[in-house]
Amino acid sequence: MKPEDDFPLRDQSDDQGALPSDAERVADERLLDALLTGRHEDTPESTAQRVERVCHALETAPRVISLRWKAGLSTAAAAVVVLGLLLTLSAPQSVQADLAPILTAFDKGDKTYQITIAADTNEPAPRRGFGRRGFGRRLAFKPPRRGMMTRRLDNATLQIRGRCYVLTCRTGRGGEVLKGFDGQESWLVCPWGASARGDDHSLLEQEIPDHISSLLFLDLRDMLHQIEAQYALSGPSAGTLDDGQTPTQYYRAERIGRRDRMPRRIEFWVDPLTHELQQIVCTGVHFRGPGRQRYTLRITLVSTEPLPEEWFTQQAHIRPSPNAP
Amino acid sequence: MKRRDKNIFAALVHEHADMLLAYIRATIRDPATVDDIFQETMLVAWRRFNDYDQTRPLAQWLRGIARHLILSHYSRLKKRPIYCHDTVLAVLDERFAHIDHRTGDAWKDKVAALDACLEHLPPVLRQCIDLFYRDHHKTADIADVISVTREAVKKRLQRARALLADCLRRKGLFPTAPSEVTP
Repeated sequence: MKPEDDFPLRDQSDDQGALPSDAERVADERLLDALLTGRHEDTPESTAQRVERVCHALETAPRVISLRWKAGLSTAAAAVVVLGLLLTLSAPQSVQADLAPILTAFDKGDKTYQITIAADTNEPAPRRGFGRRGFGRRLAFKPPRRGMMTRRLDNATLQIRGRCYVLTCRTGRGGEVLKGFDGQESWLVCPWGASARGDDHSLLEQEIPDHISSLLFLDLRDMLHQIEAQYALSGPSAGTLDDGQTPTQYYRAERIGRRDRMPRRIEFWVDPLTHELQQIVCTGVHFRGPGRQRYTLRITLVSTEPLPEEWFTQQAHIRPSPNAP
Repeated sequence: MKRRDKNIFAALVHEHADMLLAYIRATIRDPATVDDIFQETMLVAWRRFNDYDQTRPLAQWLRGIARHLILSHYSRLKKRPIYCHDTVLAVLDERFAHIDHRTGDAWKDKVAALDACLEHLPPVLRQCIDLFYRDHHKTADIADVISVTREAVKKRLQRARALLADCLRRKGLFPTAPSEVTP
């Protein structure tokens, strides 16, 4: 099958809503094209491969695709605030069932992830207007500065054990800000010695806005809630990591709702044997601040080495002040 | 999943794969999306197999699922090409139902008339069809190979397809009488 601009059929423009002048002729041409394409491409080997892929998908995640059927309903429902509340009260059984092995693997052992953030280059540029005033605005336009939030999160390290985590962010002066959760309380340790504790995740708010905190695995179940309500999920399909060699299962969720602050796309790669999340890439992420700049957030598993038992407590990271007696 | 159920379903997938791919290809051009929709269709079919009315043809049921997924795909893209208009889809359904009733065990047997029609194509047109579909050349490349303009290649492909459609009508693969289709 050929690309759009190289497809010499008659009267097959993509005009939306236009009525075909001769439906039978268009249908016959499409059918004939499909038959001619299939005549060469659908070999016994390719058919066997497709059947194998289907069977493999049945064994791993037989119900994931059902989300697409719900896509329209979910989009409409997302507009209703009450439903948002309901969603938080009721677990997304279908997604959790489908991705149960991932959740199980996620709760086992310690994991260390590396976070990187890059500005999206494919996102639409902000509107700068037309005419004389627009010209002035274009002249005055400067690319949005990279905010503190994205600076700090870039190259941050996230260590996780079940619901506990330690997020290590680098400051501009080379210091480290550590924020964590020990299972009961959130805590903060700054390079200048200040520390705090709290009973919720609000201490993280400066670095991580609410709407993306779950994407950083801080609440994987919440992430699944969001995916079910706001995204059309497809997969798994066979894929590889960036090295092009490590085999993975690849999932892709495209945003279908209108919550523009949410990432446009969430992709994740799972180890087919251990079901461990190897990498998650969120495209079109909006951080707090002015402008419409979007970012790509990439979280990559770098280690599964066990961490010290007390690692997720605040005490483990408080260093004695050099001036202390 | 029980191993026996899986084997039965795998056999059904195998039996209907070529037909389903033809149906999806007729409505979607991108090969990767064709594969995605094919897989999704089969997964949905597996999940909803208990809903399947066994008095109806399985092929028709599978095409119904595929059609739903195809329309969802275009709905997400916020565009719907003219060849996915309801009227065209209705004609396509009719064409596939017509082919379903032809003799032959496999889809390839049922559409074997296409091979015979290709044999009767004039060599110049057959060459274009082979270069385009078998060798996956673009029309611009074909134009270079046979030293004609790209527009001429497009015309030849159109002409070849028109002749093939006429031939398939004579051989009964496409219905001869105009069908009454309501949008």
